[in-house]
Amino acid sequence: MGKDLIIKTLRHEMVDEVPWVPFSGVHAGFLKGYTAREVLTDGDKLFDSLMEVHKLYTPDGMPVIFDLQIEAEILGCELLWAEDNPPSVMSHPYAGELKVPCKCKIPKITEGRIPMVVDVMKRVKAAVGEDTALYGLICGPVTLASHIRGSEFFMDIVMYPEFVKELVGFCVEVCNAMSSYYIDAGMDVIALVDPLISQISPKSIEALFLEPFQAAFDFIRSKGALSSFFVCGDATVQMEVMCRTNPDGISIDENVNIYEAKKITDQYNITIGGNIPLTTTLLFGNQQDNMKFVVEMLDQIDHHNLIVSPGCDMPYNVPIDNTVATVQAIKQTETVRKMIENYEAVDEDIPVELPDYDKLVKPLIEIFTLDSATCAACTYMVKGIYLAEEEFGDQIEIKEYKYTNKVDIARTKKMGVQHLPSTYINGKLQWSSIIPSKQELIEAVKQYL
Amino acid sequence: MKLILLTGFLGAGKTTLLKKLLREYEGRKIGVLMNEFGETGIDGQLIKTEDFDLIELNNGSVFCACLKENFIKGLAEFLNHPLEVVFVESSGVADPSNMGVILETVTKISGKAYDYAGSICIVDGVYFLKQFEVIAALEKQIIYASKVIINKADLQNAETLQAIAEKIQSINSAAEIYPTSFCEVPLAELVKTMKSAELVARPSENTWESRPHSCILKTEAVLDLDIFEQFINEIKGSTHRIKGFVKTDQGIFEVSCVNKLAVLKPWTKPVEQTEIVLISAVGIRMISDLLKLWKKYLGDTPVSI
Repeated sequence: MGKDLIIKTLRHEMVDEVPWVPFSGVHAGFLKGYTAREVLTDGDKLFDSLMEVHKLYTPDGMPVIFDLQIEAEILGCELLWAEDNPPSVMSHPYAGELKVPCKCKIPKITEGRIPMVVDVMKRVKAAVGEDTALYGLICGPVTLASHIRGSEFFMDIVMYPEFVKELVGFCVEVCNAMSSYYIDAGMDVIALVDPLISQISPKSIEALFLEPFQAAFDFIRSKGALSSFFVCGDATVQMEVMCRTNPDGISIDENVNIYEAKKITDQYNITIGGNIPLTTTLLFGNQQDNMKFVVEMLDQIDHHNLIVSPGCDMPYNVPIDNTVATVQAIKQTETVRKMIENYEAVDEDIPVELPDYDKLVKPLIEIFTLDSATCAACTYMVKGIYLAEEEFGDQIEIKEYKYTNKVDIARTKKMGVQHLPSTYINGKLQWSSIIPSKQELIEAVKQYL
Repeated sequence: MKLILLTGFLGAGKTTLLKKLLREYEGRKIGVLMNEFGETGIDGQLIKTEDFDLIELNNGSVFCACLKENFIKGLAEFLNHPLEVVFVESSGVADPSNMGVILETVTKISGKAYDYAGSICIVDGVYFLKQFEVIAALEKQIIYASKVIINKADLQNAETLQAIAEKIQSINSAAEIYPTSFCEVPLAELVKTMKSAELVARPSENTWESRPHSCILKTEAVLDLDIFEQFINEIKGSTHRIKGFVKTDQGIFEVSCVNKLAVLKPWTKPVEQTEIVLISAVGIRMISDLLKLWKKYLGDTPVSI
C-alpha cells in the first residue's frame, strides 16, 4: 500500500519498492480544467482535482495544497494571483521597521484560506487517506519571514542577526500552529517548504536557523506526524546543515545532484526525495525523456531512503502523459527499461502496415497506451473508450496498442502519436492524454457511423 | 479612582505582591486587572481564592498593540464600579511607556478618568543585574516607576543589593527603593503616598527584543512526582520562568521556578490537568529541549505543547 511505503521510507525502514509523490499543486487543477486560482481558493474544485491526481497518477503520497502564500496572506501580505501559477507576494507588512509580529497574529484555524484547506484535507483523508500518505505543506519559516519583511530580510541577516532570530522564531510558531491544524485534519507528513534556504550561506543557517528548524521538526514529530524539508534551487552546499535540522526527509530539485546529495543524507539517515527536472523533462520533454530520466536515476542510486518526485511544485500544464510515463517508469521499471530499449531498436525499422483508413467497413477506434494493465491513466482511457462498445456493439471496432512490445511501438511511431495514452478514430487523433466523457465519446463516434 | 500599575520581570514577585495587596485591602472595594504572558490563566488561579473583581488578559503583554483593546475595555469597565483602587498587573515583559495614550483612550470611551498614581516595579534581587543586560523593557519599567521593590533580598549579598540599588537610582533618581523579601513592604502606606504621576506619551518600544517565547505544556497523565521534579530541574536551565500545576501520584502541586530556583508546593484545589507555562531563556529552541527532556524522563507519556 502506498501510504505504508511512504511511512516506512520516511522511518528509514527497508521497503521493496521506491515510493512516488507527485507534487501536483496547481497542476492538479489542470487535470480538471480549473485555473490555478480556482484550485487554490475553491475547496470543491481542489477536491475534484486531487481525486483526479489520485486516479491518474496513482501516488503513494500526495500534497493536498501547494501554496506558500497561505500564511503570508493571513499575516497581511497582498497577493498577486495568476491563472497558471500559485500567487506571489506583492507587499510586505513588516517592511521598513524592525518589528516582530505579536503572537496574536499567528494564523488561527478560522482565518484566511485555512478553513477551506482543512476541510479539503479531511475530505481527501476520508476518500483516499487509507491507501495514500497525505502531505500538508507549510511555508518554511525563513521564506515566511522574507514574505512579511520583504527583501530587507537579507540585509537583516547581516545587520540585525538577533532580530532575525526573533522574527524566524515567530515564524516557527506560525509553522507549529499550521502543523497542528493540518495534523489534526489527517495529514501524515508535514513538509516545511523553504525555497529561500538555498540562497543563504550554510554559516548563517547554522547560526540563525538551525535551532528554529529543529524546533519545528521536533514539534511535528511530537504530534505523531512525519516531517520533511523541501528546498528549491541549488542547495548543494546547504545539504549538510539541512540534514542537521533533523527532518525525517529532505526533498530537492534538479539544481542539486541527487547522487552526491544522497551520500550526505545517507550519513544522517535521512530520506531524500527528488528530483525529476520540472521544465526540461516534465514540462518540455516527451514520455521517453521522462522514462529515461527515471530509469537511469533508479539504476544509479541506492533505493533505501529514497522517494521519487518532481523537484518541486509541478508546472501548471505539464503534459499529463509525461507524468503518466514517469509513474510507469517508477512502478514498472523493468518493463519501461525494455520500452526505451525497444524505442531505440524500432529505429531498425520494423515493418508495420497501417490500415487503409478510407476503406474501413466500420469505424476503427485505436487506443495507444503505455500498458493499460499497469498504467492507471491508460487503464481509465481504455475503460472509457470501451464504453463505446456498450453503446454501439459490433458496429465499431476497438483496438489497444501497448508500448510494451516492439511492433506496437513501431505502429505508434508510424502513426506519429505524440502522447500516451491517445485515442484515434479512423486514423484521426481524437483524444490525447484526455479521457473523454461518455457523452463526448458517443457524439464523436456517431460522426463516423 | 486611583490606578496603580505593577510591573516587574517574570518571576520577580508580582503575583506575591498582588496577593499581599488583596489581603491588605480586605473588605474594601478594589479592582484587579491581570495580564499573563502565556495563554493560560495560571496567575488567575493562584489568586482566585479572594473575593474581588478580576479581569484577566492572556496571550501577551497589555502594552502590546493587539491586546490594548481588551486592556482598554477592561479599564473602562472598572470605572463603572465603585472601586477605591484599581491595580493592573502587567506581564513580566511589558514596557509601560505608552500608558498615557492608553489612559487617554479610556477616558474618551468611558467619559470618566482614572487618577493614575504611577507604578510599583518589583525587581528580582537575585537575577536583576543579569536580566537587565538582556531585557530592554526592564529599563522602561524602572524609568516609569515611583516605587521600586528589590525582592528576594534574603537570597542576595549586601554588596550586590547595593549595586542593584545604585543601578536603579542611576536610571530613575526619584524612585523610592525598598529592599525586602517576599514583598514584605508597608503596602497600604506605600499606595497612599503614591500621587498622580506625570506621563509623557511616546510609542512603546515593546518590540522584538523584549518578547521571549513561551510554551504551555499539557498532559492528562498523572505523573510520578520524583521523575517530574527531575524533569523540571533540568528544563529550568532553558527558561526564565516556569509556573503552573502538576497532577502527580502524590497529589496536585503548584510549580514555580525562577531561573535556578524550582519550588513544588502542594495545592489543595482541583485542577483539570497538568498545565505549565514555560517562558524561554533560549528562544525557540526551548521546544526541542522540552521534548527531548520529556522523552528522557517521561518516555512516551503523552504531552502536548
